Amino acid sequence: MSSTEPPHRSRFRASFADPEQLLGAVKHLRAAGHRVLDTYTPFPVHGMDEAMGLRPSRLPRACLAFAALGLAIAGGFQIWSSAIDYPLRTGGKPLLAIPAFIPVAFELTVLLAGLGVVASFFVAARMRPRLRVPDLHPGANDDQFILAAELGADIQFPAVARELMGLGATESSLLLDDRFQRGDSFWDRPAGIGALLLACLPAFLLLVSVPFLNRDFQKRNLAWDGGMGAPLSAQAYDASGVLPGGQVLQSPPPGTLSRRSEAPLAFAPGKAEAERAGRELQNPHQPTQARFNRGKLVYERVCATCHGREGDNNGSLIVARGAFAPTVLVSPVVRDMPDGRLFHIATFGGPTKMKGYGDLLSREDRWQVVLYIRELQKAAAKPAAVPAPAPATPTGAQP
Amino acid sequence: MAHDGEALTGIGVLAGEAERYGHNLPLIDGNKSYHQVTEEVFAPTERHPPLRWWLALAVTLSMLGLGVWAATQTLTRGIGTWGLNRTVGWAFDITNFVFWVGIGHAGTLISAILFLFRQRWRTSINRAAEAMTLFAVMCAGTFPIIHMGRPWLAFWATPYPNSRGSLWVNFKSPLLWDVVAISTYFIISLTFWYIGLLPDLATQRDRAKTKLKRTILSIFSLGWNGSNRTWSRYETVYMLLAGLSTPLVVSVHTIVSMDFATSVIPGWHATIFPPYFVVGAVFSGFAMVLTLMIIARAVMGLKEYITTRHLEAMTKVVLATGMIVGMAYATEFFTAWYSGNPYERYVFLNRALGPYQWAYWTMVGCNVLSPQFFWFRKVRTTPWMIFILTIFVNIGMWFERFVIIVTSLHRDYLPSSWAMYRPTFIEVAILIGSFGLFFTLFLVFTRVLPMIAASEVKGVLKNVEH
Amino acid sequence: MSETFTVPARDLTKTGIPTLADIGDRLRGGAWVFVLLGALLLGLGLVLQAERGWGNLLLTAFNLACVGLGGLFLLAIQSITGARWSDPILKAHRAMPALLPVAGVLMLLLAFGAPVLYPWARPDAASQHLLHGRLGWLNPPFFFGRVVLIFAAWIWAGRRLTQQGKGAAPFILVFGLTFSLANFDWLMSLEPVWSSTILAIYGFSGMFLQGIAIVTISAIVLRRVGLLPAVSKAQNHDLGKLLFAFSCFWAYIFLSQFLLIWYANIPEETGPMRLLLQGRWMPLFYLNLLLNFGLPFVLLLQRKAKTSETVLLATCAILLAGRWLDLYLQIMPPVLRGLGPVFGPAELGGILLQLGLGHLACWPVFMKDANPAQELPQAE
Repeated sequence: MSSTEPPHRSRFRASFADPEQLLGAVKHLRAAGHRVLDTYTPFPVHGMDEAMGLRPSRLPRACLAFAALGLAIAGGFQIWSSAIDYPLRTGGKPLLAIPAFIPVAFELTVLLAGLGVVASFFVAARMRPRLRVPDLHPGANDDQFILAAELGADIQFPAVARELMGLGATESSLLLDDRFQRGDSFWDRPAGIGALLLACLPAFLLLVSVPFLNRDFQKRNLAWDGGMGAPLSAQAYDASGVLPGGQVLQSPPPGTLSRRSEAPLAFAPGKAEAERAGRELQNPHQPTQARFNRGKLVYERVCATCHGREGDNNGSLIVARGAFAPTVLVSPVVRDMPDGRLFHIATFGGPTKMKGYGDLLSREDRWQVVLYIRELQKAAAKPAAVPAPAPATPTGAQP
Repeated sequence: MAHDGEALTGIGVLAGEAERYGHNLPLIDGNKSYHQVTEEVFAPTERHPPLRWWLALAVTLSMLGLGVWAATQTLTRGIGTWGLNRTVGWAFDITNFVFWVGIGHAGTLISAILFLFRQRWRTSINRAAEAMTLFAVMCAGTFPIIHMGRPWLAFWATPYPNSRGSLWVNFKSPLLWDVVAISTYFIISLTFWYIGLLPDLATQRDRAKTKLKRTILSIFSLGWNGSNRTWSRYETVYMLLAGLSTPLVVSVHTIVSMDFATSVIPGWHATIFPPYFVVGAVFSGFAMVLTLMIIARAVMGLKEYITTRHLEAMTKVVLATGMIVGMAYATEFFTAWYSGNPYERYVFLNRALGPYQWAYWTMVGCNVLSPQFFWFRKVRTTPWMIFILTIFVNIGMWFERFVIIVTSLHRDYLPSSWAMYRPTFIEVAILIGSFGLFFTLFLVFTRVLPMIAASEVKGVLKNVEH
Repeated sequence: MSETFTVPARDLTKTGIPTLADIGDRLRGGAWVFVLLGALLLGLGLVLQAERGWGNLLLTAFNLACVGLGGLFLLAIQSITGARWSDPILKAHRAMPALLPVAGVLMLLLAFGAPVLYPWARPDAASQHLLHGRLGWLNPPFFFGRVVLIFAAWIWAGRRLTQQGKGAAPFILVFGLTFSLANFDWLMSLEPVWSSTILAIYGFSGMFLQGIAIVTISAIVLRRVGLLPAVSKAQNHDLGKLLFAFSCFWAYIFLSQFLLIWYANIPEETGPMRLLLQGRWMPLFYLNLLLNFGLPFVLLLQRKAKTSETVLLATCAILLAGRWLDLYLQIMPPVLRGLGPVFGPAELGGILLQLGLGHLACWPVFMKDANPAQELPQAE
């Protein structure tokens, strides 16, 4: 600061059109005892740092420090949150899954190092948003290469100016304007920087203390649960824009069996139960032609393969393949069984080989099959009362 | 200081040989002065845009509008508006995400890695390439957000203290690594780009004619005055950021590849994915830079800054990375056969011969065949040929991600779960919208900020080793 | 950065440029001792425990081939990128490929030990369920036929590159295919159940890192001896940067493979890794990381360090040891089948053989290389 220096030395500047000339001029002036304050160029001139006697920047060290900080924070936070604070086994990985923590740790190291070094740069170079730019020389950001220096002791400016012209300066002049002093505002001084840091302190403290606020999970915190406390559930009779049919209520897919149509049968499989069913169950359906037809349909589709179309094992595939002989339905034994027992056998299966059809046929169908079996039995029991006409064609096939 | 700052290529110890190899060819044509550079680079930001710019903006804005409409449909009506099903849970959304992240990588590579290798030709393209990175990462970032069922809860992916026991995020999940990586990448790229812009913002401020413009630029240029004390620290910071950005860009696409590679799905779980994805990203990114630069240099009159030599250097990178990508395809195929694993073998046969074979052969044709034309010098130095070929490369790279994601998902271990995927119009519209966003941002950028790093170009204008 | 070295180069204008006979004699004697002693120890190791002997022979052969390839690859890259910074040390690059024929012979010697090393070369291979379907590819005649073809390709392309300076791009294409194949054949088939698509790149990263380390050592030592007068601090700085960068690259590829296999935890893939994380292998596993990445990273981080010849030499020595350990950990676990690592005559023999053969093969080529800083014409 010029105000603190005892003998006020004049400052001057010189502009050049070529960076090499500027470099030469800087070396010359320093050798001649002048103090080169700074140079202003549109791009960095190689060799200028040494010519001006600047020492290398300490920013790389700051970068390393921030990187170490980033690594410590990232590694530490991952380990603390995953293995200590709320340990959760995910994906079968160990709690301290060090290889899995490497990517995030690396990224945060780089992030903090980068932002830290840039912040340090701004602080070290005193760069901040400014409406008035200090030390702005005309053309410094365009095509002029300018130096600002302080006259050495006992040297007058005109002599220096002539030397500079000889070195190629396009312009040189004394700097009298206060505008060209180094930025002097409060924010550039240590006090100002300290004030800024102090202002950030409350925010930092708040951030750090948040994990420790209200660790009692019984007490509700302010939290937005994203609407999970009041989910939008669809009401049964609402209209729906996305479901087929335009309504929320959908019919079950075809083929669904109702589980609630009737009370379950109070019987278990087995012969004793079959006998009990015979005693306790009655066919609830009246024998009508429709039921007879239905019974016939079901019988011929489901039962006839084993028991034969007439219930007498004629045409039974099981017999044809020589597996075993199913019970003959028109036999006296079966004729004597009550309806309930037949129904039980149709539901749960026979004593030896027959499987139950309780899950394939509805209760109504099973009763209707029982009706049809009764008709078959009646037909088989009738004596052959029909007067046999003289067989014209010796077919020999059974009626 | 003759050897400090020595270029790793170009200027060797033996003087006199340089001319034989053309290293003393100027990087910028036209024998310009510094002031000429200033005038020409800043002219687009100071003139009113011509009619063709407005027309282009109209096109890109309508694309963007279509995308915004489609994204709104998705957000209000749900992911059911897409063609995803339980088997193919990711398709266009993640393909687009990886595609845009990949494109972003070229910018960082040109800025950071070429800087570390002292390739001075990067100075004409690095500003535009870095801007391209930022816009591409923005486009990429929209996809993970809209593909969530409840994007308004996206903040749950960040580790903030909460009242659910303080339920923290799952740091072991690659999807979370993505969140951290993409955010870091965007922030650091933005920082790096901004630092590079500072000297040019100062120039713009000095040339500003209106008070408003001068005020805004004064705020953003942070009092830059070209002081060497600042330049000295600036160069150090720039080099440190370049050194940080280089591993960052590699790590970001590595982490993106780990979204797939950490799974057990055949065709996804391959240890080669990290470097393969990174090389693929460089491949598609450079192709996109070439596409953009060829248009920009013709339309904005910057042919003397972005010369055919610059284009040629970039096509060589495209060729080299394309060969590596092709080599990776061959390696995967061979290893799938070699492993004897029937699931792995089937995935690769299905890619080539199954229902999505049209996508697979498009990918192979565009990625392996089209870069081969760059063996010929004539092709490498003819802008319209480069333009066409780089578009094919980008198509191929989009299809590569589509093939990887969809073919591996649609038929994996359990045949009863096999299903087909078909995109809906909404998904295609969102893809178009992302291109609209990208080009809109880029068009605006070219008129607001200098597309070429003027201060850096001035630094290499004379191409003399100091 | 000061321009002068702490240890100045010997001024050969006073003593005259030495011929092969002058310097060569003492060193050659030592090299022959290494070779003979190494072969003896290796033979002893073979007799004591066949697996270790053959495993170390494979290590030796493969590593010598990698040294040769490292020189060629670096030459090709310098040619393609038009790099000139390395002009003063290209002579060292051109000497390294001389090892390729030697490595080829050693690889062919492995034919005698193939049944010990490779499960598919054993008489009962046809009955192994896991191998069938692949025996058409993995059988001794075809395998060693491929060895011959691969080495022929390397030697031919390499000769074209070192002597005429042409064919850099074709070499890289050939290299990409053959080196991948070599890694898959020679290293991956040691454990036929296991496969990893990144193995070739992993091998490449180690090979490249070792190549730069050897070039760095050559540059420093030969400059001090006076045989590479044009080497300056700039070369050291650039080599230091490359060492740093590719040490990080090695770590990146290592992590890619390790993290993915660890994460998915598929039993077919975790076999070798799980073995490495148990018992006596575990300290070696971490030592491998330390030698190849940890120490070089810390040592070379500072700018000053990259130009200090002492630091560079130390780092390169560490890297060479790390390379050996890396290959040891790739080859020996499946070969030893559950037995722990031991450093015995076979291991020592292998190391001595590498050092001795390295000198014997490369030195004559280096000395006969006429032009001290012959540049390669830029690739088209």
